[in-house]
Amino acid sequence: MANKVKITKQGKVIYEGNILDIPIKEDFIIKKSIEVFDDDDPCIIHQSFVIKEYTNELLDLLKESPNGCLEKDELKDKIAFIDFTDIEQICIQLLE
Amino acid sequence: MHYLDNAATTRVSKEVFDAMKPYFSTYYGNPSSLHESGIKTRKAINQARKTIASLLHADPSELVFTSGGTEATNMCLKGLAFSNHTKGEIITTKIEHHATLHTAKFLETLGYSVFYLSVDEEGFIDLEELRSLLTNNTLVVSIILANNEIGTIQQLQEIKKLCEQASTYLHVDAVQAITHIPIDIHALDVDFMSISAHKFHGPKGIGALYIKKGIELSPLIHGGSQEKNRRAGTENVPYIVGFAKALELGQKDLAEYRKRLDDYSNYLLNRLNEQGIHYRLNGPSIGKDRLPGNINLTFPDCDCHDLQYHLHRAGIYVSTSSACDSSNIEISHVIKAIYPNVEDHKDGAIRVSLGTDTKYEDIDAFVSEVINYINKG
Repeated sequence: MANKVKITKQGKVIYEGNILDIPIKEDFIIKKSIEVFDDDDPCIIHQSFVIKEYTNELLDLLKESPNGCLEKDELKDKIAFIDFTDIEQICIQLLE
Repeated sequence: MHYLDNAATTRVSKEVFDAMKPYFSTYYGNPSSLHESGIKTRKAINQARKTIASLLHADPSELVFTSGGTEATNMCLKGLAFSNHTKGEIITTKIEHHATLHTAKFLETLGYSVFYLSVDEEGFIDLEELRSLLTNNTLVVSIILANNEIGTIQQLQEIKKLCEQASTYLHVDAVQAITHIPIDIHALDVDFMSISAHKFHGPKGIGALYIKKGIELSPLIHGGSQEKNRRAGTENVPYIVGFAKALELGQKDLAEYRKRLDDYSNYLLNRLNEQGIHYRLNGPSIGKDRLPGNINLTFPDCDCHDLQYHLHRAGIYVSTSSACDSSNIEISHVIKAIYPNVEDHKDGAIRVSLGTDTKYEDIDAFVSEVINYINKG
C-alpha cells in the first residue's frame, strides 16, 4: 500500500499525499529510464516504473532518517529529482 | 528470485538449448542449398515439422513456421482477408490477445465489419450471441482457446459446431493452451491454430500457424518459396529444432503436470484464505474450465501496479497485463470486459502464472509479500 508524505517549505505545507504522486522532474525520469532500460523515450508504463524507483529511494531515505524527516541541505542531491523549486528549502516527512 | 510469470514466457530448457546448439555453428547450411550442409538442415526442419504435427495430431503439410503467435494470427486473419473477395464480416471476442484485436482493428480500416463478442464474469462467450451474429457474410471467427490473462477455456466444440453450420472459418489462438491442455487438432477440426514455442520452454521468435489442408491464404511475406510459398524467408533452423524439442517435452506427462499446477493453485488460494486476505479470483474456478497454473487476482483497494512493483522489489515476478496509451496506463481490456463497471475493475489485477519450475516456496514467498504489502497500508 502506498506511503503518505508531507512536504513543507518554510513551514507551509506544499504537498501532502501519496508518495507515488510526488512530482518528478522530466529530465530525471529520462535519466533513470536510460539507466534502467537504456531507453530515452519511455512509454508511460516504463515512466511509471522509474517514478516508483525514485519514490522508493526517497522512502528508504525517510526510513533511515531518525525522525522520519528529511531536511534541507543534508540530502538535496539525493532528492534533486523532486520537481519543486528551491528544493534545499523543503522538509519531507513520512506520515504514519 | 521467484519466477511466477510463466504465462508471459518461460526459460529455454537445457534439453531444448542442447538440441538447438549444433544448428548455430556446426550445421549452419541454408536449408535451400543442395549440398551436404544444406541437406542436413533441411532434414532437421522436416523432422521437426513431423514431430510437431504428430504431437498435435495434424499433417506436417498443415504447419507453417512463423516468428511466433502474433505473426501466426496476423497471417491467418490478414491472409484470409486479403484472399477473400466475397465475405465482409469477422467475429472475435473482447478478451482476445492484442495480436487478434489489433489485427481486427486494422482489417476494419480496410472495410471489414468486426463484431466483438461480450463475455460473462468468468470470461465465457455467449454461444447464443455468436449464433445470432453468424451469417453467410462471416469470413472467420477468431477465438482464444485459453485466455492468457484469466485462463478461461472456451467451449470450442460448441463454437466449432456453430461455425460449421454457418460455413465460416474458425481460427483458434492456442498460444497459451499448448502443453497445458490436450490438443488434438484433427479432433477439434478447427481451420487455423496459432502456436508459440516460448510459452513452453522453447525459444522466443518461433511459432507456427496450423492451416487445415485445402485452405488457401495470401502470404504476408513475399520472397522465396519457403514454407510451400506461404511464408518467404530463410528458415530459422535452430529455433524450429528447439520448438519441436520443447513441444515433445511439454506434451510428456501432461495429465500429471496439469494436476500439479492445479494443486499449486489451490495451495496458493488456501494460503490467502488462511491468512484472511481479501481477494477476488478473476476467471473460472480452478479446474477443468481454467488454464492450469493461471491465477489472476484482484486485491480490493490495492493498486495492482504498486503491488506488482512491491513484489518485483522482493524478487517475485508476476504480471499486471496492463497496456499503455500515450499518457495513461490502462487496466487490462480483459479485466474490463469481465467487469464492465469501473468500481469493479479500477484496481486492476495481478496475474500469477505457475510453471514447470514452480515450487511451494515460490508460492509461500508470494503470499508472504502480499501480506507485507497489505499490512503496510
